Amino acid sequence: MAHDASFNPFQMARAQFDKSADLIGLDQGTRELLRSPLREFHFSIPVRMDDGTVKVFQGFRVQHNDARGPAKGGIRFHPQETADTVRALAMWMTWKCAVADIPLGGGKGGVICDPHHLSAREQEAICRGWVRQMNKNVGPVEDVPAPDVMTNPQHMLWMLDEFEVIRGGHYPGMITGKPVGMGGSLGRTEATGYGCVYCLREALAELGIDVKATTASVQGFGNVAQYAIELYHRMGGKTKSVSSWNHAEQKSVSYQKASGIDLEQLRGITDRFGGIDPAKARELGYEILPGDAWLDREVDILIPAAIENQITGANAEKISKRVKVVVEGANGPTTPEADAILFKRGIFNIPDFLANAGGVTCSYFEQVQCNTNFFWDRDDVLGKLDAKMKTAYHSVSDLARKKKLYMRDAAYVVAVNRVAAACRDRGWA
Amino acid sequence: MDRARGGQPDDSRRAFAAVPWRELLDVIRQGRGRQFVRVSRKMLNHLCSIGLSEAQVMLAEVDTGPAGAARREGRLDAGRPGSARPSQTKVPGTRLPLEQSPLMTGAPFELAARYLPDEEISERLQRWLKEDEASFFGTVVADPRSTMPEIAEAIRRYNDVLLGRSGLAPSTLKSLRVSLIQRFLTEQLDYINVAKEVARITDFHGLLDRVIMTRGCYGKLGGKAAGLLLAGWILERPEAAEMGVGTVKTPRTWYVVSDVIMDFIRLNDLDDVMDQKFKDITQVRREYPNLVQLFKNSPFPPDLVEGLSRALDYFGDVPLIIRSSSLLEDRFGTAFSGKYKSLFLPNRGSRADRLAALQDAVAEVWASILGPDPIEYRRERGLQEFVEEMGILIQEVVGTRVGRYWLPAFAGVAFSLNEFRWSPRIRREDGLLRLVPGLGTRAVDRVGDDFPVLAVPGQRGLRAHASLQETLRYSPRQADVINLETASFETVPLADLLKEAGADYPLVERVFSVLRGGHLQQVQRLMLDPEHDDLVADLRGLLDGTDFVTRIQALLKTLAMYLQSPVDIEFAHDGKDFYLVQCRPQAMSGDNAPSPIPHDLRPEDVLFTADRFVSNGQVPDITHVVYVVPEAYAELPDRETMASVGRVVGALNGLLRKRSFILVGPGRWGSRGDIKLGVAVTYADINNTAMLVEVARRRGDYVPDLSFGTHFFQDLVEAGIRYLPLYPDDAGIVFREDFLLGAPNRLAELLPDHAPLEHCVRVVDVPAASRGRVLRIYQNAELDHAVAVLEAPGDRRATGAARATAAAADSPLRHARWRRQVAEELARSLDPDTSGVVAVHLRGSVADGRATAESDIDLVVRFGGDDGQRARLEVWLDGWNRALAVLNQQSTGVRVERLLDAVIVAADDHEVAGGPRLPLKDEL
Repeated sequence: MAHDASFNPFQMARAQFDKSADLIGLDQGTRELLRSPLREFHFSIPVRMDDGTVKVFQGFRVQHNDARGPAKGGIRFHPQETADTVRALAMWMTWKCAVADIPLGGGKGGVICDPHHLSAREQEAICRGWVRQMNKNVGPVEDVPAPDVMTNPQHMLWMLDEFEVIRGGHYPGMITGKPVGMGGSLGRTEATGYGCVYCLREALAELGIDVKATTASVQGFGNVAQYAIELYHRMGGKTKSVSSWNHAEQKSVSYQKASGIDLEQLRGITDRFGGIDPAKARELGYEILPGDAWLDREVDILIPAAIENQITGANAEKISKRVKVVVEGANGPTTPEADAILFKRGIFNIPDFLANAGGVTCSYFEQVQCNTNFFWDRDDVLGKLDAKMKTAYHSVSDLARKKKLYMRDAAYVVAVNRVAAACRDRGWA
Repeated sequence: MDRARGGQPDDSRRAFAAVPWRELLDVIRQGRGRQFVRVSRKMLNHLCSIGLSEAQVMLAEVDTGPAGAARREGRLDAGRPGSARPSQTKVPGTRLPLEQSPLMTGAPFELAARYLPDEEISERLQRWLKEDEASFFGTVVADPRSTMPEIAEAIRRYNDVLLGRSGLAPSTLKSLRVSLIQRFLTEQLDYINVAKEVARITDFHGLLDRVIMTRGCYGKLGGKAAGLLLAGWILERPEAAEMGVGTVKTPRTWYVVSDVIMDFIRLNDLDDVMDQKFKDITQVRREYPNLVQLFKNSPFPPDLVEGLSRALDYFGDVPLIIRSSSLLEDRFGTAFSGKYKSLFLPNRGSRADRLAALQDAVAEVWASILGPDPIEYRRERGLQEFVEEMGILIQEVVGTRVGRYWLPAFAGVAFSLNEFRWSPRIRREDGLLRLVPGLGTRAVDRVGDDFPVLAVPGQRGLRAHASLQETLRYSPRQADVINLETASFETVPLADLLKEAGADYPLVERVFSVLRGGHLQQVQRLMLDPEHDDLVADLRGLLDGTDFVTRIQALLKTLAMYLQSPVDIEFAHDGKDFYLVQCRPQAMSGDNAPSPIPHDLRPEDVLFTADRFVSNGQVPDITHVVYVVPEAYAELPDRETMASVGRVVGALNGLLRKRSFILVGPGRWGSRGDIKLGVAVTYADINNTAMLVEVARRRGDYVPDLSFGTHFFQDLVEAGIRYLPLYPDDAGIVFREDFLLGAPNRLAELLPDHAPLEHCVRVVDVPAASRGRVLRIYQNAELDHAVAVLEAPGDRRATGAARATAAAADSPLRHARWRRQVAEELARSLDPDTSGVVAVHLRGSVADGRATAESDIDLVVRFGGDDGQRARLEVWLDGWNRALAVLNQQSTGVRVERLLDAVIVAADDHEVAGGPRLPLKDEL
């Protein structure tokens, strides 16, 4: 890939880290330790293709930091992965696990390939080949991979199988993202969405707002959004509008009901991707509005739970004066310019890597259940999730309040601090 | 007719029981004099050929030609008949009265009895008798004046002759087969060449039981019938089984002969409606619904009603599909697909109701000849003046009852050649499968908001969709079915269908997978809970878990091998058996036709070329190119700016006219995460483009992978948006980036807010930058070459219409068309005032459109002038005749002595049958 410094995710991640390190006042040694991955693996995976030829794929794994526990992070299949992207992602995983206060480090890895051009057998061969190369350095107590871009539960199971053959034994905790019944955890479907709302609940309590008196507007109607709304409604909240992507017309559309949307009703007319049927919605009495109308609704809470870069410098001012909290269900929905505006306007922002940490926390729970070979029921999982998210939230918001920090910065500080402390405790730095 | 030779193979000898030949001969002599003469002559010929000198002598007595006379006059050596040189015999030989001819007396047989054993004589006699009967049969079949019922009767009568070959020579049988094929199916040589090797005469016997004809009809069964029958015969060959095709059935079918429609029209005095094809298209469109009603309300010929009634008895109450089988459809080289109607008939209710519905459907399918689409289609190809005859296929709908619906487990289409490759690993020859649950109508057509499942027979392992999301997005959600309760054709959501039918859905474990915990799993029929299970129609159970794909590939290869052409087939599976529903040469027209690549282009007119991963087609009349400059894009300062390029493209997509522009950009269009690799767009941002081009520039040793549109591949396919990868750094490839960079950039004008991105996104107005020209992209997958050329807008090189005319030029109809044109020219050059000609009528094979390269042009000229004019007319016509014969020979290689057969009759003579009147000079 190009050597230019114009856009480099790793540089960006480092810049974010540096900012937090400054705020904390980290010493040079620790900075240096944390700015770069602890170790990286680059290897070749030879695969005999279906037509008999042999093709060699490049695989890799970056373990950024495992002071707090085994590294955790996904494996992606991508035709043009770059080392710097992976390093950045591995670093973000370290901070994410740290902010959620789960005893795991950060890692990321993958294989340079495009599953669109590979048969199932070839993909299986690549998965097993990856494990063959990495098996000495991954495992339940070393490094725990998970699914990511273009990998799925089947890939995870092939990798698990290969690992178990090599190590001899059952080690379901060596990888997460497995299907329920094959070592996966219940509650995974709800986890991210619920996680957002656990944070929200805490935030509202702190702000002295009764959740039952609030209304929300949600962008997106996929997995995260639906479950966030589900829990929010159970707590007594009301969602006034929801936006969803209409594949047929290739644009997003907002659906509004002043008296509050009926989640089950909308679910009934939604396809598997969160696409709501506009004609049926109209029949059920929903007002059809343009896609970006969700942003300027007269509500108390905004939940962007779709894609990145939705709240920008250009539209942040359109947010209603009534909005008090923005909960980032998606990754990166708010641009840095918008951050500044939100901060200026005093709108409380629960940053993505705290708000959607429900997912990685549930992943951790999958590991724990696997390692003990005992699987909890759904309510147990969600109960534990609630507790974890609550404490995670409060660590961040306490700091933000005490030190008058923007929540996103506070979250980074909490995370980096925890990792730095672990390194120090171990005598590394 | 074959002459019997000595040394026949033993097995044929055994076919004949020992019959006393004298008795047999007596019978024949009494009843069938001509036949007696013929077999006598055969015996005589045989005796001569084995060298019997007495036979030679006898032959001389029989021989009535010049050589015979010479022999009789002693001018020839008696042992060498026919050795006289023709020039020596200028007088015709005297003819011996028949009664005296040895052939009438049975003398050859008496002679034979002295030299040959009785068994041999008996065997030969029987064989000749059978051949004689067969030849009579062949004559009936080959005579164009025989009606269908006459031929049917001939086939039935001689069934015992033909069954088991009965010792007929192979060439005899072949010529009988050819006659039958020509008579029933088509005269197209390509088809006959294949069919004659695979069809058996007994096939026709069975077929006839299911053909509905009227008394005087002599049409054919039509193109669709021909295609399906041929495929069926090919599949019955042992070679097909060897190639691993497995059991393939064809649906039970009845046929209505193609000219029954003419009976119907004549019966109801509807002749005028055939003039629809000459009317303006808007008028046609307006009048069409009325004509449909007219057809439906007009009574059918009684023979037809009776035939339809028998058909209903045969089928019972199974749902039926009524399809057109026109003489112009589906034959080699013509693709009329989808232009005429097909109708589903639920076939429920009382017998009277069902018959009425069937008649209604037949009338409607017939009326579809007069619809605007077919008329326009034929006009474009210069085929409109032909009398359009249309056969009808009445076919059972492959399927089974599922609750209140009738549907097949799955259905689809398969192609020998794949024009929609999502991966460089797929070659064209790997083929393509489109599969859907329910009726195949959803796989044949592109349905707006739903997708068929795609698979590649030659690459079983590759899937179009890598992630769960993609699989879910692009799997079918609805199915076409027949609702037996409401007796209607419906589209139902699969989710609803499954809730009702559940595990009763045929082959449910092959058609669906169950989505559980973010993971697609195999369906276990027993464990299925249709109320709660989330079922996805991904057909993985079929594709991965059975040998279906291998068998389809074998099927495609077998058919293609016999037909010497790539094929396009439709099929369906009812849960028990696999059925082939239609087979035709893969339509090389419209979108999928290979475009001829223009040569001798000036370098300054070529914008780019490609020679890898090229699919067939042509992208015409592009007025704008949106070019995302790869170097500039790679140097954008941050992610936000890169993302905004995607938004700019989306905005342009909304502003520019649909299909009038192409998108050219770096790497992988549709990248979301790693947007350095390609512009971050979703399908919505590009859905109006005519073509998506990805440019891969070499970096050192390394050429980046292109996406091949995988991010929205099926959306592109269904919308007909083309894809082309460019590798500008390859040897011999042209990429005129200088043109794209040098042309004025209209971005700032169209999207002023995004002007700062001008250096990165260029909107090139092609006519403005090239002095009024447009861009056309010609792609030919056979040559694996594509070229984008700047051309003048009117100058359509070998485009759709021209290609079609060229294709039509190769069709057999060209002979008829040329002759018609000639006749019209001839008539038009006759001035009634000076020539004495009152009218010119066209008749015969040119009028019906059945002329071949050897046909003449039959004209009736009504003349009312004086002798001088008459003499001049005759000379003039003779001149035309000579000239036309030369022209015909030059263009077809066939020499016809008289190409023009003009009969001059008196002006008031209306008894001579004349066909359509041709306009004379200055007439309209």
